[in-house]
Amino acid sequence: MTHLLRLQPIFRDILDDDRLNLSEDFSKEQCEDWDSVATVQIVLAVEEEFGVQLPTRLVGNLHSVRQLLDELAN
Amino acid sequence: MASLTLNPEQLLDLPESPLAALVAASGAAAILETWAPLLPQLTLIGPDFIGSFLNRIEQEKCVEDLVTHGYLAADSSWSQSPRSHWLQARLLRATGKPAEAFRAFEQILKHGSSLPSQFLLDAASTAIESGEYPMAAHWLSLATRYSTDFHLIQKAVRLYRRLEKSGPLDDLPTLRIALLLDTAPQLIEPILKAKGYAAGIHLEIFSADYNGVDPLLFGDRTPLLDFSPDIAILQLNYRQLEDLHKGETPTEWVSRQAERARRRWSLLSLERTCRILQHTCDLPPSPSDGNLSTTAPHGLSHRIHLLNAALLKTVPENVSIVDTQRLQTSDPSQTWNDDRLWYMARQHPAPESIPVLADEYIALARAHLGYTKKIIVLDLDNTLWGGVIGEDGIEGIQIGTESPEAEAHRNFQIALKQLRDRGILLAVSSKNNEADARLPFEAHDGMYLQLEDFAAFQANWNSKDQQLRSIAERLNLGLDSFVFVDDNPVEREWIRNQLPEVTVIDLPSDPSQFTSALLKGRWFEALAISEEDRRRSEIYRQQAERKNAQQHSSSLDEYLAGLQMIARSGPFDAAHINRAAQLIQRTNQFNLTSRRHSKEVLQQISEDSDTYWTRWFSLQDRFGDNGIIGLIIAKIGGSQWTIDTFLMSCRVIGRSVDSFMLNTLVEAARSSNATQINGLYSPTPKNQLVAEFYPSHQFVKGDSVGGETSFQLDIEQYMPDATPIKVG
Repeated sequence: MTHLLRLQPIFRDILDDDRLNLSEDFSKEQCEDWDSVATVQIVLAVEEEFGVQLPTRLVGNLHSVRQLLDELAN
Repeated sequence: MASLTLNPEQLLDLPESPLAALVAASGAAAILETWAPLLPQLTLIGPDFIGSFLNRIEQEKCVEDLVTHGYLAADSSWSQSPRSHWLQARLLRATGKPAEAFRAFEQILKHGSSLPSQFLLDAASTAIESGEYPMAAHWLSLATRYSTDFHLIQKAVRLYRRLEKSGPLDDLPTLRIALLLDTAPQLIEPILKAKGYAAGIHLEIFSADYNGVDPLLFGDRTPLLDFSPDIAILQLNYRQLEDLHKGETPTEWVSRQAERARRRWSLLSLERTCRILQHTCDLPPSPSDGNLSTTAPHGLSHRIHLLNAALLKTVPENVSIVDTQRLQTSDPSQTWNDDRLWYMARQHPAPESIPVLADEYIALARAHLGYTKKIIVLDLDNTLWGGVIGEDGIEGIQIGTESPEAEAHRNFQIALKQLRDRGILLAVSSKNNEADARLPFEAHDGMYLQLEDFAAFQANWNSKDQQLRSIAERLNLGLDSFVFVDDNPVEREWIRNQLPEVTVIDLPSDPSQFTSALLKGRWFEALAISEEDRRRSEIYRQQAERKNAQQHSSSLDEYLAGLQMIARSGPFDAAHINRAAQLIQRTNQFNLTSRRHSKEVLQQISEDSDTYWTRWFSLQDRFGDNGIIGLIIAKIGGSQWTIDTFLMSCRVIGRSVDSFMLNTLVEAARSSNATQINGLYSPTPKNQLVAEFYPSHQFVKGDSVGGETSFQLDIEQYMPDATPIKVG
């Protein structure tokens, strides 16, 4: 839960939507602003916020919040 | 959550990160009873702590309690220290009071210049919310200009996007940049744009796709031609170099690669010359052949070093080299290579290095626009030397090589001397007795700078803004071309408030960092160096002698006659085009049209002598040679000539050079059978001086359109102006 709370401002910022209520199910398909540049920015911002480095396997194929939460849970 | 017992006295000694961790574990009671009263004394807290604190307040829902205790009031204890004041501003904003938050930020930032950039971003964001757009642009510019933090600048990028819709960026000068990178441009583009805004430039950016540069240059060039860039940036990187062909020697490979770069340069210069920024090639971080990569002729690093040398061997005038290896080593993030980002997004260099790269581009863009500063005004005590001459005496001050501190000051002087030798003027502004101030220059052999290195020397007890004004007046320079260097933060703040157009350097307390602090803002970047630059200091010193002669003459006419002035002139040719371009960029006051033609455009104008008449003017007198000090460009249209550019260096104002120039123009027009000269006056904030130039030189006023006024001169009726200047 706390991870989701910390992800919310990142997604709001990058997708430029102050009212976005981030849910675990949020994915690329639901947001046309989530393009490949946004993906890179999300990866970099998440790494900065959580002090982690996300594996290449994930960043090449990132399309949902759930993927990030799964990775951060490990 | 188990409650922690916090001892306020121990908290005062902790650095930020444990404080942030502790506050993250605090409940409502601890926030109200321990943290809130203690905040003004916690002077080391920053963005992390404040983020945690705000988060806890939200989770524990104790904002109302803080309001009840008066912490959000304008005069609360929190407003006593900038850091707790900042927290207050953030809370005011979070509770829906952006106007009050804005006022709090205004107070915080009025004094603090050494606050984290995150403060400025929060302030800017609040200012946007409150509709205070000019202030938002100002703060955003301060936050973005000096930061090399990728994540912080990403935030600035988003704030700039909001600001773009609100007006304050509309009047910035536009520069068109073509990013021809071979790598993916998507992450670089927004950061470059934000850095541009921060430097006062609106960038229009055209980007080639990944691997799309050569198709664009060698194939259909229409998109690039339509865009018509002022600056084109060409990258080179070790990831995308071509392999050695089968049977090709390393030497052949080097010339093939260098030839490829040169072909790109000439293609970019075909229709309309633009300024080209060419990267040198960076080095691979860990080549599989290790040391042999550099030593063996086939090694990649070996070939890259040779390729870079081949590129540097002959650099055309419109090409500037971006030294990638210098960026690679000076980048504070030290993350030039990120393989993952390369595989994922074809991003190179690593995102963390983009700000440093963008700073480099912007430094050259500013030079291209003529934003180079002209003069450095220096304090003496604890700036040029360590200690106070009036108290420590000639034996006590630190300058020379006898101590680390002395050597640091001396090296700062050496850097200043190098700037002086390429045309940046130096001046002294010191609150001192003049005799004391001069003493180290005259009697201390550790001093590297000498009195004659300074174009002006103000040592008295006037306030520093008066001293600066007096220097500006004496040298005929605008205060916006001034850089002010002083170790005393009080003087710096005084100048910032009194003379906001002056650039103030935040000098660190350690003299070994003075040089890098001075150069960090890249204020003195130039695209080329002319003979004029090398002689500039001398020219300005002669200027002071002339002022002296003027004071001893009984009349202006007598003074001018006594100068024994001789003028030379000629069309813009290869020997004079650099200086012409420089004058066009630098001249603000005596400039009737202020058209900032780039050197590339001037080149074209000078080659088209059927359409344009061009003249440079130089002036010599008994005190020395002033060099080239005036320019005219006139457009030839049958019997009518139209003034495109008429400008004169401010250092010869009042010596009838303008009359001499006009006489020359009229004579040339007359001899090509023209009957009329059209003049145009375009007012700018700085050229009020020449508002009456045309009427006072026999022109008749015509129409005014959009602030510009046109004037006409009947050539047949023209009586040449009297001038004591002789033709050389």
